[in-house]
Amino acid sequence: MLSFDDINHRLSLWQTVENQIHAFFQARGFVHVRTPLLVRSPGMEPNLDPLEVSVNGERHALITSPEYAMKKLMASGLEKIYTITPVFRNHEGGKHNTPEFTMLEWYAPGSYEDLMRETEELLKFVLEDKSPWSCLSYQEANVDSFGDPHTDAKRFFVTRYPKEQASLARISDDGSYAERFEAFGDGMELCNGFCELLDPIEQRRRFLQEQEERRQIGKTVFPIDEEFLQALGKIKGPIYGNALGVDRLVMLKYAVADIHDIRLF
Amino acid sequence: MASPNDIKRGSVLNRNGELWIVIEFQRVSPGKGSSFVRTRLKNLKSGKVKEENLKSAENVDFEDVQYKKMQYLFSEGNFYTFMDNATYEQVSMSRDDIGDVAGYLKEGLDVTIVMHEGLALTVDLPQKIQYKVTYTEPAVKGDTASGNVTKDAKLDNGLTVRVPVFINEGDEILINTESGAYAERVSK
Repeated sequence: MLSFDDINHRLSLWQTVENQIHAFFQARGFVHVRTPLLVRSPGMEPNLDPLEVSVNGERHALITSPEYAMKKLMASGLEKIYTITPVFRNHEGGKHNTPEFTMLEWYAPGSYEDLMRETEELLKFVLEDKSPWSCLSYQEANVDSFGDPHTDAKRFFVTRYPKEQASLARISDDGSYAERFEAFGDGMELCNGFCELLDPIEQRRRFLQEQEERRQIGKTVFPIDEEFLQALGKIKGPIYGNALGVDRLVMLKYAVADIHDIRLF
Repeated sequence: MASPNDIKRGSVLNRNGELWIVIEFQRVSPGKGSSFVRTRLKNLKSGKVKEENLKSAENVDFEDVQYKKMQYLFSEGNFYTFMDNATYEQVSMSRDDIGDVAGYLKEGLDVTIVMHEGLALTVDLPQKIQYKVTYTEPAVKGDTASGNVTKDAKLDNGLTVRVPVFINEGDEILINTESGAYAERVSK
C-alpha cells in the first residue's frame, strides 16, 4: 500500500490533468458523457484481446474503447461529446501498458485536419508547453510494420496512413490514404484520430473481415453490434473522433517513465 | 522454440547463435496490424544493446540459463562480488558485465545472477530497491501547491535522484530500477 503522501502526490498529477481536460472541452462546448463498460460487442480488431465476462450466463466483454457507444450518441443528435473512461485490454504489459487504463475520447463535426489542430491545442494546454508539434507523413516518419515511427522528432504527429490501416477511418476522396493520424511523445503512442467512416455497408464489410481474421487465429468472435451499424447511417458527417491514453499524457507531462509509478493501486 | 509472449525481463534469447538478454520488453497491440513484443536486448558477449520487435506469432529460441539468488557483498577495483547464501559460493563480475546495474548495488542487496554453462553472465535487479535518504533539502512551505515539484535526494549508496518535496532526510524510499526514478516512500 502506498503512503498517504504518495497517494496524495499521484492523485494531484491525475487531478491536474483531468481538470485541464474538462476545462478544455467545456470551454469548447463539448458535453461530458458516460458510456457502458460492459458490452456484448467489444472492439473487433483482430489484435485486441477483450477481457471476457459472463453476465447471467451470457458472454459479455469489457470495452477496449467507448467508440461504438460514442457514435450511437452522435447518431442520437448530440453534436460534440467527450468521455474519460476506463478501458480494458488483455495481455498488455510493460512500462507503457497495463490491462486497465484510462481513455479520453471525443467526437465532433469536422475534418481530420480540424481534429489534428484541436489535438495539438489540447496537448499544448495540458502539457503547459507551447512548443509546436511537427507533422510527418507516414513515409516521412519511417513507420515500420509494427506501427513504430523512426525519427529524431520528440513530439510529433504522423498522418496519411495507408488504406490498409484505415481501421474505422474514412478513405480520402482521391482514394490514396486513410484519414487517420497518431500523436507520439517521448516514444509513446498517445492517440489515434480519425475522420470517421460513416458508411454502414463498408463498416459491415470491415467487421466481417475482422471476424474472419479472429476466427482464423483462434480468438473469440464477438457478434457485430447491429445497433451501432444502424446508428452510423444516421450521423450527418463528416465527423472526427480521437482516442487518447490519459495515463500516457500524465506520464508525458510529469516525465514519468513507468506507467506503474502513476497508479494509485 | 517458444512464443515471444513468454518473454520476461532476464529471459535469454538465442538469435542465430548469439545470446541476448531481455533488459526491457513491452507487449503492444497496435490499432491495426498484429500484436508484437517490443524488446531491448543486450548482447551477452559484446554488451551491445539493440531494440527488436518480435511478432507474437513468430517463434523464438530461449536459451537454457539458470537464475541464482545471490547477495551483493562488495566491490574491489573494477570487480563486483556476489554470494549464494545457501552454498557460500561466490562469483565476481566486471563492471562491463553488469553495466548500469553497478549504480544500484548496495551491501546485502538480494539480486538474481543469470548463469549459463557455469559462468555468471549478468545481474538482474529487483524491480524496486529500497534506499535510505541520507541528504535532501527540507521542503519550503508553499512548494506543494501545484503539480509535480521535486528536489534532489542523496541515497545511502551514493545515488542521487529527484524525489517529491514531502520526502525528508532519513526516509526509506523505493527506486524503480527500470526507469531509475523515484517510485514511492516506504510507509513508516
